[in-house]
Amino acid sequence: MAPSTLTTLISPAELSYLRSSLALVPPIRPDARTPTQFRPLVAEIDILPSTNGSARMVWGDGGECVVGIKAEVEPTEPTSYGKRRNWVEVGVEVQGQRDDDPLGVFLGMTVGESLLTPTSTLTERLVITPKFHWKLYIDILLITPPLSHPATLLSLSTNLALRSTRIPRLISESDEDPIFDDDWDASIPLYSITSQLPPITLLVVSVEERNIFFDPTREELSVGDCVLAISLASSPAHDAPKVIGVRTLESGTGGIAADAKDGVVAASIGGVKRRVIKRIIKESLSVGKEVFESLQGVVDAN
Amino acid sequence: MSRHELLSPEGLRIDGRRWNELRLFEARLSTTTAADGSSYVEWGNTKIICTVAGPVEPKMGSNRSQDGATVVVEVCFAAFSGNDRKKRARGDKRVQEMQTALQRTFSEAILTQLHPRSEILITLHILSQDGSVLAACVNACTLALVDAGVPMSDYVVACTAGSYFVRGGNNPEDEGEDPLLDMNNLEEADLPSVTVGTIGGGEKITLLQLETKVRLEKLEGMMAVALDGCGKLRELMDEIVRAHGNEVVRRIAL
Amino acid sequence: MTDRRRINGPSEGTTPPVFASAVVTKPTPTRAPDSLRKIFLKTSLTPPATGSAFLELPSPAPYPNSSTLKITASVYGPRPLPSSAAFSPHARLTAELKFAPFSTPHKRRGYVRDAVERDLSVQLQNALVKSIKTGAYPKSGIDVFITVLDCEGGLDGDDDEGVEVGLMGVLAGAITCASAAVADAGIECVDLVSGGVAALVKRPQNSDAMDTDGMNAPMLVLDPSPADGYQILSAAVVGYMAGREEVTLLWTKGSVGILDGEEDELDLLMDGAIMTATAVRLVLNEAVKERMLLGLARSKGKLKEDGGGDVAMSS
Repeated sequence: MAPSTLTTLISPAELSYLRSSLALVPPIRPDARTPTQFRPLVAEIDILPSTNGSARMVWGDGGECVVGIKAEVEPTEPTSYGKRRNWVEVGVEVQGQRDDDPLGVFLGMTVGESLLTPTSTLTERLVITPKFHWKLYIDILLITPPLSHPATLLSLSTNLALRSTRIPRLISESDEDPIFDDDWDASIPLYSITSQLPPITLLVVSVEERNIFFDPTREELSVGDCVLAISLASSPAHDAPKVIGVRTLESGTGGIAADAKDGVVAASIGGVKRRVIKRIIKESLSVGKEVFESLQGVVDAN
Repeated sequence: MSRHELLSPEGLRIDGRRWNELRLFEARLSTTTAADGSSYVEWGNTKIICTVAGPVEPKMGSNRSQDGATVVVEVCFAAFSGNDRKKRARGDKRVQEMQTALQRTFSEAILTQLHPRSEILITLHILSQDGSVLAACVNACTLALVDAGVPMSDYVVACTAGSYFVRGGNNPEDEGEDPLLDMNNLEEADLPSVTVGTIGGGEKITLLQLETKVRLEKLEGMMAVALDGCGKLRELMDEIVRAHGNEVVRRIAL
Repeated sequence: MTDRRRINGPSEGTTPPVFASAVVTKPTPTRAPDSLRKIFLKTSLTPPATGSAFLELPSPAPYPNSSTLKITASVYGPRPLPSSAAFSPHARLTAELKFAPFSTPHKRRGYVRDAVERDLSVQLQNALVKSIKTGAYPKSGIDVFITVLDCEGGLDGDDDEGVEVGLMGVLAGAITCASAAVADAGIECVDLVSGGVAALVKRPQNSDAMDTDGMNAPMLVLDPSPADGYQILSAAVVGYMAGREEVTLLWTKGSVGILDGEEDELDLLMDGAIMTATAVRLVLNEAVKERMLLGLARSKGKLKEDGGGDVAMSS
């Protein structure tokens, strides 16, 4: 089944109007944003005292997301060296939807996959002693189903929550059972200033090869040729972020006006040329850099 | 945590309150634009987001009643809300019990007959639990319903009270039980406690929940303290609602 | 609350003993990085389904009887949507991918679909739906069921250093197989979709490239398999419609370097995956052609039987 955020039917006339205005040069978006402009959002971090890290984010369209991160000590099994990917568990709960909803699954997989790329040194920092490690539970709550695809909202909130995550300092020797410092002020941030920052995922939609839109609304998604969720990682050492994962999302409404003779037909059937995809990914890098900078602003403000 | 430390000899509780003091109660209305009504309640370290949708046409035919609106309550405990990370399944018995209690309470308080063949959906997200969760849920629901403009006969306010056994030491006359108002997590774990919900903060009780053993003669004292707390909370909530209302009017006027 | 209805194992769990000999060493790659595995693909093997296909990829590992990739696809529809469903002006495609309980070694998979299976199902559905003329079938449903019978033994991946590529291989195979089944069902398509995987791997130590462009430059491997034993830096799978030269799906994992203007890792990866998909397309073409010829032969035979008494036909 299609994610429920995309199932609302839009009439062929509306689709055609939307698509032709998005295909203009320069394009006109329904909410008059520029192609790379994001919707306004409110973000706060460190809101829940019972978690190791937390963040809340509210979009202009009413989407609200709360992320809580907890770390628990777990013994490391000698055989499980290859199972370090299990040290991070991502749970997504979308209000009003079942646990096994494909949207939640998709979002969880995207976040988990981008966190655990081989180049991120996350699991190394989760090691406490040779016998114990932290198990990181990232629980994401989508409080109100937003009007648009929640991938961007969710990934930005998770990024902020991870950056506010602190783990207690170890005070025992490495061969003993771990004992931690009770003083929360002495705790260590999971992502220090020098390490690679947690990843973000941007949703990008292309219309008619030439136009690329960031942070698309649901209406824009339904007339797009190609919707990509691009995960980016940034480290202070490098100037530009790096692409660490790309996924394709459902786009168009699956041939809603296939018999019409206008541009909508092209949107609903067929894929996109590879040069379009390459362009989308390259353009997302420069936008990603700005997003990382604004997120830094949120962290600095707290 | 031994019982003795819950109340110091000076009469101070573990978080520094006296027996009849409420924790800091803070609330905001209209926190979410996407819902018809919403509220955020912080009661000590118990934090709850509540959203209300409705009155709307019921999604399921079974919720359609000619006599009045159906109230549906959904409670979600965030996996990170407790001390240890714990994911509660949707069919969890405790959660279902809470849903039923809230549903009955609010079906009474809401003037459902004004909205026949419709449904009022209340969703609660518990972000952090530190005692008095059910009471906090009731208060959050009330504020969100007010925000949504759902007609109610009065504020539904709930509060908890517990009973602390004082050992007399050398003097048996000092021995007795002290009621405590507004229980936090540690107190709730060790002491008997009762949740009381009232309509309008007066003597009209709509919700009473006691899950622990308590001596019958002590119950009345506990309830009296809880009712007192409800009255205080009603004033606080009324202030919050009025302040919010004024703010809304001011914004419209501009 | 303890569960008294079932007999549960110890709540703490137990750790099986690990013997030194049980630690497996990685195999060394035996085939050329740009060589593709031979594919077996046949349609119409599940009679009750409207269309079906079976795909098999041999394992590159040198030892015999090693596990392979085996996928079956069956397509039902277009058939009417259930009466409870809302009106839909176009066909609704649902894809369900399931790993057979016995498909993975060491660990049995349950019958309930888990997150990995759901995720692959959604991706498969996205890859397929763009090739089908859904507008031609209003108010109908097309259901695609994929069962992975054997998955090369490498789904969980036992290597933290590299990107895990087993799932990508499964998805690519599932796309190809499902597209063949959709064609077999006679559903109108704009093109066939084939799946292709490519990966950038760390150059093996004994590589010839040691003295030329340095050890650090990653090497492109087409159609990688977890059994190859490469340390994979990044990997990509595409769903590709070779006839229209269009991409319907792209899924990449691992850090990919991107440079302005030049030929970079992203170009290498995507072009590699598309190259693989184009080669797979040839097999797909053959399978569909075979089915078509068989269908023609059958209908001719049927005509002959029916018109046995007709003088004009038999002459």
